Amino acid sequence: MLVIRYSKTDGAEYISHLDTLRHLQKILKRAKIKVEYSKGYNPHMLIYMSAPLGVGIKSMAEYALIETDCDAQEFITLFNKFAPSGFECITAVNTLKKVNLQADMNSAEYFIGGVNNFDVDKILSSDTFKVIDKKGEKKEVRDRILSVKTVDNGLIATLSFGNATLRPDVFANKLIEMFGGESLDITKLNAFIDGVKVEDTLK
Amino acid sequence: MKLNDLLIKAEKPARYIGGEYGSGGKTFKKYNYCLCFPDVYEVAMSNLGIRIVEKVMADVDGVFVDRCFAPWDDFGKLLKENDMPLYGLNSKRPLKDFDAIGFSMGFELCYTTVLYMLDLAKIPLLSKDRGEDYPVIEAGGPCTCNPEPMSQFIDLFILGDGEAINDKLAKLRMECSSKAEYLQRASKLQGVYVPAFTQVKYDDNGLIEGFLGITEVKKAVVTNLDKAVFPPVQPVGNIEVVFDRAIVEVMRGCPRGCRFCQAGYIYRPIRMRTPETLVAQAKQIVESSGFDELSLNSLSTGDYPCLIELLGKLKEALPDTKIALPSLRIDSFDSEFVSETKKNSLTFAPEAGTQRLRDVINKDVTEEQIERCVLAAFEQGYTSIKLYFMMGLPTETDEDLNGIADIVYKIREIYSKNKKVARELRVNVSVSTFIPKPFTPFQWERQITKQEFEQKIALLKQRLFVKGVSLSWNDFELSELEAVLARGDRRLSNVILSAYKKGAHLDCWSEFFKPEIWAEAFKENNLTPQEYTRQHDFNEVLPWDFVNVFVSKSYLQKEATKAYEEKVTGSCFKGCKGCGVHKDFKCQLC
Repeated sequence: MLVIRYSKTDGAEYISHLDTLRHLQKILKRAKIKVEYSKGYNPHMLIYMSAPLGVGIKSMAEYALIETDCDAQEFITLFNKFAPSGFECITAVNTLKKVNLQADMNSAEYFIGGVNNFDVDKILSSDTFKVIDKKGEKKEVRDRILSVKTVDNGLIATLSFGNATLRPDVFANKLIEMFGGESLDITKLNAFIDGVKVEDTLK
Repeated sequence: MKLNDLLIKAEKPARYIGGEYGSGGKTFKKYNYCLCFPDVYEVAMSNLGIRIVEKVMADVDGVFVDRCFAPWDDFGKLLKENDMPLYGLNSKRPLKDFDAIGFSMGFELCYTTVLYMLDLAKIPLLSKDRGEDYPVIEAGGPCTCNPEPMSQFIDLFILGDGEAINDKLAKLRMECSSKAEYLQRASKLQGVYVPAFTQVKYDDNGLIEGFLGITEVKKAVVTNLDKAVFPPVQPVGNIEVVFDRAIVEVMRGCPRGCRFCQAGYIYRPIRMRTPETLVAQAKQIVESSGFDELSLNSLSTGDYPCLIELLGKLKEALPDTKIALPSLRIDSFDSEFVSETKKNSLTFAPEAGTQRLRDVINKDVTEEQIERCVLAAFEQGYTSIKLYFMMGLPTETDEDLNGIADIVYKIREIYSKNKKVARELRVNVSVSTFIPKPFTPFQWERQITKQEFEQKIALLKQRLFVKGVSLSWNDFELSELEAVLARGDRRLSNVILSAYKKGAHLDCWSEFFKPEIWAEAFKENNLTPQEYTRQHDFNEVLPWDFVNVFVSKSYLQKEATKAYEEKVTGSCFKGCKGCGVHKDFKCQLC
């Protein structure tokens, strides 16, 4: 098994989850990396992806588990040689440890640009933060905001991810509504399993 | 506004980002060319023609080639509202910055979309309004065999096989110091038509008297297809595209000569690639793209003489790749192919319901062949059949339409006697209205009227109101417009412009096609669709008569006469029929 961490930037952030899977399959085929196939009626490559990222959100921390014996270093070179613009494999770890990327990953760190400057304590000291989610429902999500700090040109926020997700674009749009701003620019920087970077949990 | 702010609002933003694997560079060079396809990403990315052209041009030193496709309506509006010009997908540079723009026109109903793209790019629509500062606007593709309806918008047409001349044009443009010089010198090349250098003379009745200036343009021809350039890398779409597979072109031209089929005449002479070349190309493309499926393209792949050999070699070279055979003909379909390419549904095009009418259109297929073919399919376990027919063909009567229903009944009967599974047979009957097209033996024919159309559909509906059978047909207005644009003259540029200004674009998508807009556009320009859909006389000068596709007009007349006599001409593979192409070229007849 191989767990890979790859980025989606430079336009690739607009490629949907399913199309990203298609791209991963094609990259592996082009690179002639041997991957296990399912044994069903319609065999497909055994690739397990981390939970979907909203379209338009850049990422430095997408993960996939691939059933392959390919050496991690070799994989990185091959992947990057055969990937379309905007996809880059950053890390790969050969592992025997079972990991369920979708279920185990529970927080992620984002850079958020485009929100006007504000005092982050206004959020952190409050015990409530309500957003309208993508389904149009009003939701209390204060417990999903794990940390927020100000950096050059923006914010770094750690938000719940996985089962109790707070989408960074939903969060950021709410901030714009509260404090003003425009032209959102969001990048997922890291993803964690219980506070530890995914690749570090495999060692 | 930044591009990202618009993309995030678009329905499918991945259509507009470029960067596909295998799609070329991002930076401008000495000569910068943007290939435009006037349809959405999913359709454009499936087109083989522009990939070939892209490869031919990109191989020329100093040339950068980018691509641009028609934005869907939502993104088009976003661009317009935010004053952002349409851009090349890879370079993200506005189209206006390119030295030349080349449209691929494969379907008459894309004409307003060409204007839509120019307009979104903030480029003046009319050729005469674009000075030296604007890119040269070029166009090629099958529709341009009658370039006249678009002649006021396009500076230079490339007629025939683009790959025979695209590189020469790129080199020539780099040599020329002005657009004017380029157009002047380019117009001397075979395959180039510059509308500004040809004038059309009309008589008092609005009929063409003749041409002045450059009075003949020969199409460009690739004489050796086997050695012709073929893109070794085919870009993989950012989203799933219509044909998400590798393509090799097995054969160009078709030996059949169905009398309604434009492609069957304008792509002559017949040229083929050898199985060895095709296997090498297929292997290269599949390996470099990662596609799971390979399509063997041509107008009639079943007629490719080395098909069995090719399939065998492909299976050996690419054991994990599915092979798709589009355009199989009934008589070239045998159980060997069926088992090779098993699917649930099979598509066939008998085109006409009776033997008499099939003879009229030179669709050299018999009732018995149809029956044998469906039997073979049913024995393989197929449970669904799609049948294509035309209606409104020359000499057609109710008897021929009843023949369509009779074929369907016969197929159902064969199925019930031979079915291999318990499932009920599904038959999809798709009927399209005959559209007379230039350079076919039927180029003089009239198109049926709306009233006739409705009567014919009513008859078919009544006969085919059967469980398990579905009947579908095209809008009459859409077919009528296609007929008008296909056989149009220069005056139609004004109608197309009026229609665009009234909001027509993406006409080939039924949700955007608005017949009332076109009706107004005709009225505004004192023209009627009927002037174009009427029966033409053999002696008339036709708007496209100055174009030479090497098939002689006298041969087409001869074929039209044979059609009325219900005589079949048959396949070129059974002997040369003397269409005229043989005088200048050699058809590969096996």
